[in-house]
Amino acid sequence: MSTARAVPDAGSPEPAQDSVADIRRLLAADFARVLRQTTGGKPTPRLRRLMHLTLPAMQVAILHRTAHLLYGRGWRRSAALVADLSLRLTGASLHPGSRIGPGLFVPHPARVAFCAQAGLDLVLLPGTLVGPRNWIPLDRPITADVPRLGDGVVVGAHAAVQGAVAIGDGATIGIGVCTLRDVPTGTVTMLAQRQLRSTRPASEEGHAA
Amino acid sequence: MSDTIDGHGLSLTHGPEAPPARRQRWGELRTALAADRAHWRRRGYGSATLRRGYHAACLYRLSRYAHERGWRMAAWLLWLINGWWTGADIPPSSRIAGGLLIPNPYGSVIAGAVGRDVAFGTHASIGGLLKEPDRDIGGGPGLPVLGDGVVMEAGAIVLGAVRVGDAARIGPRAIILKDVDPRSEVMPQPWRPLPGRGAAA
Repeated sequence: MSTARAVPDAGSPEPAQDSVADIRRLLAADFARVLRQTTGGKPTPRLRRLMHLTLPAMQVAILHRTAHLLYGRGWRRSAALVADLSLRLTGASLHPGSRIGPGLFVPHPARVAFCAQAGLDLVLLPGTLVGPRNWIPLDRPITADVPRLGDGVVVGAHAAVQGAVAIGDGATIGIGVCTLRDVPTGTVTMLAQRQLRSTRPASEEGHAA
Repeated sequence: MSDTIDGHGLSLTHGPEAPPARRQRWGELRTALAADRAHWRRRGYGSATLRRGYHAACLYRLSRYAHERGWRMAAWLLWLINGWWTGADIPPSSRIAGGLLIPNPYGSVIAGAVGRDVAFGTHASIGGLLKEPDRDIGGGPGLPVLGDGVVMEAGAIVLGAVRVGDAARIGPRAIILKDVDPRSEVMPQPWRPLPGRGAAA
């Protein structure tokens, strides 16, 4: 295929995601992640382990990996079709061009919109919006101005990461936070103002950092 | 319905609307859809015909036409089909001028009055706050009014009977409960690092 990826992986240490074997390896990592999160590492019967394949988290992972494989082969419209199926089935709209490392975990995929690059062990909680300021249609190639998330990033419920920002490794985007700038490594972000605190003055606490 | 007689003594027995008005309304629908397509092209999304956001606008305008004609069942059936097909909830009772752009309609709710050439980002919604359900400023009871050329970025929400001025820009994930001046830009609440969990901001 002569289709060059719009975002060149210039010397990136990430493993390839271009063949069916790579996708199987990624899906195995995703499945292990889902199992670890839901069973807590306790010994689990075989049938129950197989049941985890039908969880929404695995549906999202399977459909996104498939779409990303098709996208990498240059079959953009087929990839968009699979991504659209994922939106219909699970409610999560992941752009097929977004490159996500092994260990993706989307426990509740409702209202998740994602168009970015991410490293290992990404967690997307419900209602997250990660993408460039201008939305890229699912059948268009992904551009270079998408957010870049590091390894082990957690994007909290109803949080947003917008624009070409870099989120460091191990950062946590808090509930309802919208970032338009970079988040350093290991930072846990939270909203600057607290709400529903009418009895205490707002300046008393919370602005020390 | 009183028996209407026009200036030439002809009885207009076609129902509440006379045929010329009906044709004019259909023409308005077509010009609004042409403005929608032009907005898609202007923003660089190319042809709009196969995009679900344009389908949402089409189905809304058809349901609006049915609503104005008084075909309630058809109007709300089209609203239902719009929800199934595109995931956008645009009730036929909301008024939307031409040039509506919803690139990603899944999960958007548009209840209120919207001006020309308004763009809605992913999950951007306008709707009613149940607090003042009787206040009507033109968009319906307790519903907002958006001016011309407003841009709602991803996840932005306008709630209640508020007025958003022309060409205002509502930033991502901003929640608007008060009036917004024309040409102003509203940004979401800033964040700070949790104390002890990150570099000092």
